[in-house]
Amino acid sequence: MEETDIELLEGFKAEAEEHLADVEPRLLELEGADASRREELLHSIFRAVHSVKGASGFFGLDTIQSLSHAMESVLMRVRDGVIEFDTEMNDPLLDSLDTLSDMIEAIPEVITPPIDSLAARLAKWTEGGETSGGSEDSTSGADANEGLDELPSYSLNMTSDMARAAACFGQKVYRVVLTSDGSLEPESFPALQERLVAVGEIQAEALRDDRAEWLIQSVLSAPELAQAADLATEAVCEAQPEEQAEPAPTSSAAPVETDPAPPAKERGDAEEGGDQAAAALKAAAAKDNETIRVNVRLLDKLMNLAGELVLSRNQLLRSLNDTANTTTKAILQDLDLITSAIQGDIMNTRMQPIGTVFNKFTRIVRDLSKSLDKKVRLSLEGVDVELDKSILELLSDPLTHLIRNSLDHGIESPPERLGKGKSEAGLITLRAYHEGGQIHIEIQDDGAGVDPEKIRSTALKRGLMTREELKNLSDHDARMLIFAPGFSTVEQVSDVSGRGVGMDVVKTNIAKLSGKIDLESQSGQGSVVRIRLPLTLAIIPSIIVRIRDERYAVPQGNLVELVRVRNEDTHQQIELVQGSPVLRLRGRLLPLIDLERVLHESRTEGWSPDWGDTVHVAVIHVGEATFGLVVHDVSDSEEIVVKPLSHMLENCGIYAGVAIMGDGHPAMILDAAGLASAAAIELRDDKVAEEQASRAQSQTSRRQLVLFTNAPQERFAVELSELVRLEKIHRDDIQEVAGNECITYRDGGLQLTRLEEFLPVSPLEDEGDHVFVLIPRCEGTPRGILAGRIIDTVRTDVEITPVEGMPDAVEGQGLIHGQLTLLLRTEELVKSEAV
Amino acid sequence: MSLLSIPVSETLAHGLSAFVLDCQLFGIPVRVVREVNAHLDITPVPRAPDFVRGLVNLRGHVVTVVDLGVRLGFGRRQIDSESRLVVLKTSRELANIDYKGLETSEEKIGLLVDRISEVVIPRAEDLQGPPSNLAADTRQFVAGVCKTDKQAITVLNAQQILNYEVDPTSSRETPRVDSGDPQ
Repeated sequence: MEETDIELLEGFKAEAEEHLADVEPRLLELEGADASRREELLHSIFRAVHSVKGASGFFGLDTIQSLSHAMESVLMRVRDGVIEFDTEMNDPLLDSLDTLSDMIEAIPEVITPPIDSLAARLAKWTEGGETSGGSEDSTSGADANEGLDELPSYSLNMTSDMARAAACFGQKVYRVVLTSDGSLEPESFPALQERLVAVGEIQAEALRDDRAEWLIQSVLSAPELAQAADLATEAVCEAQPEEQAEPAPTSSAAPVETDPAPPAKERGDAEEGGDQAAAALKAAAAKDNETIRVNVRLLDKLMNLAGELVLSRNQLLRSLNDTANTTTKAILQDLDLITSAIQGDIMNTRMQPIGTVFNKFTRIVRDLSKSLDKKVRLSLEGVDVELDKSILELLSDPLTHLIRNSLDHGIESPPERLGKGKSEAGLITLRAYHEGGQIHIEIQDDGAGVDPEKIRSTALKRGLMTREELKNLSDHDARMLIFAPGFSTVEQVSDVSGRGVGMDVVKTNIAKLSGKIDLESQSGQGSVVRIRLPLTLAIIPSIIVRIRDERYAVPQGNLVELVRVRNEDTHQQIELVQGSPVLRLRGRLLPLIDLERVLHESRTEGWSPDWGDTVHVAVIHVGEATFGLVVHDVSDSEEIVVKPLSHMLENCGIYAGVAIMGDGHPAMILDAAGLASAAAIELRDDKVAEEQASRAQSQTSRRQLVLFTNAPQERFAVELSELVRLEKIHRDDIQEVAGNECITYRDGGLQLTRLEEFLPVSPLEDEGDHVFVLIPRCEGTPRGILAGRIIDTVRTDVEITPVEGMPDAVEGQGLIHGQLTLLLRTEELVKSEAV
Repeated sequence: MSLLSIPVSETLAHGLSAFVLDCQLFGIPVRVVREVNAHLDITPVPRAPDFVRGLVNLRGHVVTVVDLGVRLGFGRRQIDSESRLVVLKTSRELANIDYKGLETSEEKIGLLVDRISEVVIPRAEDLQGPPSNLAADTRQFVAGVCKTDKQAITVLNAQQILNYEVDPTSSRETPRVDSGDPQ
């Protein structure tokens, strides 16, 4: 194909896509529109499809042409009032639209999907006569008229001349069409014609054995005309002028087509359509002459140049600021402002309203609710909110998934809803708004909500977490498990939401956009999924961290907080767990990654405790993981322009891209996920030996322990999951009943046990007013264990070694927080007491 | 002609850009070169392959600096006042000048060399295949030799130098394009 042809074809493609983009929302709007709006919509839909048809004929894209023609035929009949619009008709129209869009998208490839079945479904609306044509009465041929309009619909075109002439006399042109399955005899034509002449002036006629069509100019209204000529009202409709200069063939000898797709006629039609397309385009351009089509690549280039401009400005500012005189400084300031404005505006050129993505969900919700037998309304809010094009493109899939999920798992079936006292139709709200320099997107439904217990049991079944871990999980955290990898599996796959991809993919995709996702839900009331996204990916706010004199950028989207650990505190806050450093931060252990070690493995050996006076830790969250990145220094946050990574550096695994800093030097942007996995590998290397040793006794891995002490130098631990409750009591509350210590607990007595009574340990010290009671989870009468002071709860995989000579109630000892700690079995404790 | 990895007629017409590494002369087709500069304020990239020296900002574009010494097995270059960065054209830039027969890279790559020499326009008979006594790991980067009256220039295969997929340290035998006997 010639290059110019391809160019033209690409032009057609862009145009057709533009035309069709509006068709779907309009078709959907038709379903609820009132009469006047409906007419407006029909006209615009018709115009769009017609333009595509015309232009496709011009390019010889026969399949596109045939299908758009079939659609057009239905639309024309609705537009002309021959048939009423009904919702069912929308299904084949929408499906055809999809096929049409597919074909156009494939351009310059020419694909020819089978369209016969679609055409047949559409033909139902243009061949109604077959079902209702039983009527033999020629005057009531109206029923038959339903089916008269075979493809092509009309053989007569109303010219603009006719329209003008009619308008001069204050008259209108009507189209009278009669057809039948044989009952219309050619012999009756003269009689019919006579009746018509009596009521108006015949402008054109096309007579055939089974079909008669007239264009008639008359002063009467359509129903009056029908009555006067003794015709069914449906047989008469007002004719619409075609945008065609030449008068249509008017003699009765004019060719009348019966073939649904006669090539000759099609070609003519196509050219006419091409003109129309051009005219429509011109009209659209005139109406909206403030927009032009710009190649995205050009925008990207401009974006790049704007970035460079910013950098040059920064360099200029820096080098002149000290020396410049007042005049120069004023100029510099102007330059500064203008540069920022240019950068901002160029960024804006890449922005598109989120409505372009939102609108397609109207269709998805419509189709899905039908196939699921649910009633669902979709409400769109904030469709004008603008987002960077590149983000929008990547947002479509995750949103689709979430919407599908809401529909499938969230919204209940109508009977179920009625049973719960809700309205029959569910409501899904898709909302977008700006807040705090970010875009917020919410997908809200008023469905069943997410039941945290169900999630827990599923998570347990899938082996994502242990029963104990799940128990300690808040409801919110439990709900968030639906985003965990491996949560949704085949069992859940339905046609609709489970396509083998889980919600974890949604989360990953959002994370790729430096976004965050959250789920809030109330059982029975519905759920809200909240997504927060940066405005643009090309420029991201980052903090700059340093390792000696090297600078690295950390995207702020990944940053949770910055922590400075002073040297004197270091030993309390930074600890080594099996050689891996962790930071104790507000009761949680945060694994630390030494950036220098990740970057320069050879330079550092092991975890070096002497980093200077203070340690800077950037707490970074990515996906499921939160970790602390140890750096030497943290400088300002900076808006950095992101450049792609060279292919030679992709294997490094820890970089997301390159930034050019204000001083013109490149700096690597760290990839949080990559850092986590790079460090994990290193940690594993460190731990291989220990891991192999501990693998044998896997039950020791990752337990959550409560640490407590009764006397200095003696530490005990019990497994948190074995406890029901930790009660802080006043010493005075302990009562003595029949030689046993008791407290009142939950309207009853709780017998207390002291460790020293059956273990060779120091007695509980008599210091302080308060003591603690550990209440184990056990069968029968509960007993409490007295504890002097609770030190902490820790999650640890510390190795516990059995201690010889100790009772069964001691599982063993281990080094926790650098102190030898006895791990107790609460069950045995309570039992041994009972003996 | 046995110089499979450079377009010979182009080279004959436009010449070779010659530069010095370890007192030896090397050359690449001049039309592949975008510019030669002394932008050597290089930001190192930890964990990068050893031959990637780092990145420089060339008027807003990030250029990956390949230490040609490491790539060819001569060792890391010392940067001094004579050091230069030979920035290659990207594949797109080559396509724009309708340069056929050689691919470079989608991104901007600069070759770090000790010193830039001159542009040599060879005669057809000056161009020869790579000498057979080359070490295997160097050989894959050599397209041939240009022997003029005064000097011998090793013509590099820029495509292969930028091709990171081929691990330079791997023991995989370079496919021997049998260049026949040295002419």
